[in-house]
Amino acid sequence: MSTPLVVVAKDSAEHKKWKYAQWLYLAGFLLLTPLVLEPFEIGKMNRALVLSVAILAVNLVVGFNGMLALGHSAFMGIGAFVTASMVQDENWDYWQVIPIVLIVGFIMGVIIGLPALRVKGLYLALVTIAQAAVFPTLVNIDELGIAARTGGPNGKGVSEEVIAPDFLQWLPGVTGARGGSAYRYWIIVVMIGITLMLVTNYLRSRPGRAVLAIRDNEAGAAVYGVNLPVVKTMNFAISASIGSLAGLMWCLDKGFVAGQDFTFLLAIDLIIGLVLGGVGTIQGSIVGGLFVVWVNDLTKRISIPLGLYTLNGDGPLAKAIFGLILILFTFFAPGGIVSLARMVQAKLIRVVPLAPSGEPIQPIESFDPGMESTRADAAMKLSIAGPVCLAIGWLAMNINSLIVGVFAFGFRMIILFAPVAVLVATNELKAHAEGKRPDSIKGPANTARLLGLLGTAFVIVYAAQRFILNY
Amino acid sequence: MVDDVFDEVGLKVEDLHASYGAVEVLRGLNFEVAAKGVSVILGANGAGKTTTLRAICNMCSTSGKVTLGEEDITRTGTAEIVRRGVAHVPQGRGTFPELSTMDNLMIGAYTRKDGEVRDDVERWFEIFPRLAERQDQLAGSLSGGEQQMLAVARALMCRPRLLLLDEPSLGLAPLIIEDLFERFGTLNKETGLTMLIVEQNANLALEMADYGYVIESGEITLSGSADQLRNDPAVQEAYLGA
Amino acid sequence: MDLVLLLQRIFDALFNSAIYSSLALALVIIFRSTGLLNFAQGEMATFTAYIAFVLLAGPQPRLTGGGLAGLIPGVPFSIPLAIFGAVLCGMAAGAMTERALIRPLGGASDVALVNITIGLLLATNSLMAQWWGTGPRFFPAIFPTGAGQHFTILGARLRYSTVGVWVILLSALILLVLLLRHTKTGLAFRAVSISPSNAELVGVRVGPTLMYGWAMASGFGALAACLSANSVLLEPNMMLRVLVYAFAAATLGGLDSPKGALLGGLIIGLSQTLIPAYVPFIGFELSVLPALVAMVVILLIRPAGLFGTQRIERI
Repeated sequence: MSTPLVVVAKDSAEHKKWKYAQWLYLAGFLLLTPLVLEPFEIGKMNRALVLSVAILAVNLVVGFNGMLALGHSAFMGIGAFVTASMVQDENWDYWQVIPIVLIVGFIMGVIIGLPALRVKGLYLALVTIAQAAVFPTLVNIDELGIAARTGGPNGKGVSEEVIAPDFLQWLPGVTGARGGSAYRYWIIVVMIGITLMLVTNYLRSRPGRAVLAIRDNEAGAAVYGVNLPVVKTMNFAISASIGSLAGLMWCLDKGFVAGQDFTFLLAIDLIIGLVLGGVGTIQGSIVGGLFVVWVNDLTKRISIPLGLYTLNGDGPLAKAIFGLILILFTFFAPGGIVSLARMVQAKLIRVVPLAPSGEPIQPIESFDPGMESTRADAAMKLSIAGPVCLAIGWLAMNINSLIVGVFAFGFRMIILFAPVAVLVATNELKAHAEGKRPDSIKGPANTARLLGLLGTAFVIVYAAQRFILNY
Repeated sequence: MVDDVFDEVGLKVEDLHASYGAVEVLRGLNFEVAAKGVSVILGANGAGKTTTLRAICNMCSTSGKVTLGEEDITRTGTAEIVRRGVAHVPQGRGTFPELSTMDNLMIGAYTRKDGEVRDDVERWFEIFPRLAERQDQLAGSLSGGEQQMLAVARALMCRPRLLLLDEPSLGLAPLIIEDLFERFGTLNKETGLTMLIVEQNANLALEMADYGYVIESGEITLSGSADQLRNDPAVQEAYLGA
Repeated sequence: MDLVLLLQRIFDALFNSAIYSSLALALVIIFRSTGLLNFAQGEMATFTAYIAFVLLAGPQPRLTGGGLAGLIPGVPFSIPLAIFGAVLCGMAAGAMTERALIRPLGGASDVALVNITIGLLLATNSLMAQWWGTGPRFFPAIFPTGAGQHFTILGARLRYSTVGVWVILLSALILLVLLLRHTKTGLAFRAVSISPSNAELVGVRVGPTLMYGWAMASGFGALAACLSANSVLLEPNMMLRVLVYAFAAATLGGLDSPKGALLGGLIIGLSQTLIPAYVPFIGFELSVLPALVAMVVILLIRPAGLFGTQRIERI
């Protein structure tokens, strides 16, 4: 494919259509999750989203400020324990605890981030590792009433159940069997939405730009008047308070908090999610959280008999697979899934920026491949790939094995490109009507349109069927 | 002083291109350094002087052909090129500040397997007596001039056939620069060491060189014997401050 | 204060100190040469302890996990020989890691390099668990550890094993220093740690030199694991906790200073034993805390650790 399948001018009607389509996919994803998934699957999604927030917090320091911090599991723990204690012991509501958690997280961030005033590079990594290592034991201290608050080695449960109030019964999924987890899902989604908005704005603000400047050239930033210690510590503290918020969401989601949940291994999970998603991108944090949980889940289903051995995914092997994935990504996709997605996107669509005059810097027509166009063929391949991959994926999921299983997950997603095939095929047929394409494209374009429509219909029917089955 | 320490060899560079990422810095250089001769490359900041030397040593991505004597060294690794007898004194001197002066000299002789390393050290101490005085000091504590001398001595420790000097005058006081170039001249006359010097200080460089090139935006715009260049009006205006 | 008890506690702490010091040394050697923190150092070390274990046991599938271990020569090794073999294997593994995982990345960012070592940590750890199981294994002691196997100094008992561990550690360290100071390879290694590009310009082959560095470091790690496997029991997570202390020790002493690693290990080991003993509020459960607090405090006073080099940054 020399030119992308679709070329649009920035802010043109066509471009807007694509933007809406993206939002539509996102909205569909968000809406369908509580409707079509089983309750335990919603629970997993919740856990993934909570991790996403924590990864976003790590990203703020590692990805956007260029400092290696590995101890955010401790901030999550702090947030979670504060929440559990306030809700259980003091009978506060979760939403009342939010400001407390944010403030506590911020203060802890300043205290632990203060070494960032003086310590450089890898030394910060070491300080934060120490923090992650010590946290699970700190919870057990008897003095100062800490153990009483945290439940010590037994952990602390929250007896109050989170149930949707009457005025929120209209939320998708919150009635019926999956009500509890679906309601928690919506709370988490809303909190993520607000957090994302705030973080995006923060990064665009004056201090946010200073944070980025420090990442790109620390000494340079200092010369331009950025107060390094203050900016770094503030950023670290903000990140810590988001980490604590993730802890609150953890407690809200699970209703139970124990020191053993917040070990160094959780910190490593966060780093893995960060790398897999994409260091230094907001979307990467979210994708990373989802990926960590789903891959973990998929590896658990592995069972490959190998002569004397049976490789079981729910044993120690899951960690090995994570280790391998981490190394492979660092080597072959250092930008994470987000960069891979951008590569795919670049093949699909190209947005031509506008010149100051308001015209595209290069006329859209000049991108038209003319009579040599292979777009119809590409659209056809895309529309065939969907059902084929779906079939392979379905088969593979039934063969209970790891590698196929992980691929199967991604495989089946290709069906989601069906509407794209329809759109491209329609465009090509229009161009043919205008005499810009040879007759030979008619066949592939029609096939693409037909299969694409069928694929789209399948997705809709499948979702509806799951929806009906679940009610 | 022992004569004939160094083999006689020239350097030939043909159609040398070099780039950092997408930016092409050298755009087809052709030049030669006569065996036992001293050539100088003049150029302004950013003209590609340093890159030329780095490209010769294969320290950046290059295309073209570099021949040392009879050997093609275009695709040879940097460490291997040094073993073939090319000593490179990079910009910023390339000494090891946290090693002592003596250790710096010893590491210079890393590629040698003969037993005459100590003799050579004595010899360069004779030529650069300041280094002998400071042999146990850390290189980082030497003054700029001393460090430059150390860098040159260290480069000579590998008994090179060709010495590449990257702006040896950078950051040094005028008197020290003169002294340094005098020593380069003596070195060349006494040992016949082939030298390629990259410089902005055209006056001194042309005085000791026998051939020169002017490089602008990655291309050689002018070449000729040192005398020709010195009398060239363009060179006079741009580099000699006439 | 009971002086004999104090002395006794110091003697007891010395054993752990030696282990922390040697793993910290491994970290420092790699940090100096390659500029990265090797998170997998502890796991690589544990792996070598398992190798020693297999060498000791001979080919008993029940102990060794069967499979590939069946290929190992049938004669059980003596303890010193097994440890020596394990150290050699560890060095080979370290060199291979540098060659296969670190060198191809070139000058990648800190985050990327740390990720590689975290990946290696996870992979090694779980492969060990897969292979040998997660249960603890008995690893024979190299020095006599029974009751009465000790010197008595001023009424306090100094165990033979403590003395033995220190003798081994110090001789290995002296060997390392001699190697660094008085051999050409050592000089090359020091030059590469200061500036790889300049080292290349004097004809040093940087890659192989770094490989030596990784081999030396992994050798120290292997020593740490094999010497401590008896007292902490051999299991896949054996060195994870030790690694945290070793990190603290290396940081405290200065990440690029072998001297600092030695002293850091001592400080961490002593504070871990002494502070819980004399500060009532900190129980043994929390013994990790004072060590880490000490590390943070020292970093605040000297950001590069006690003996670390303060780097000057230029714009």
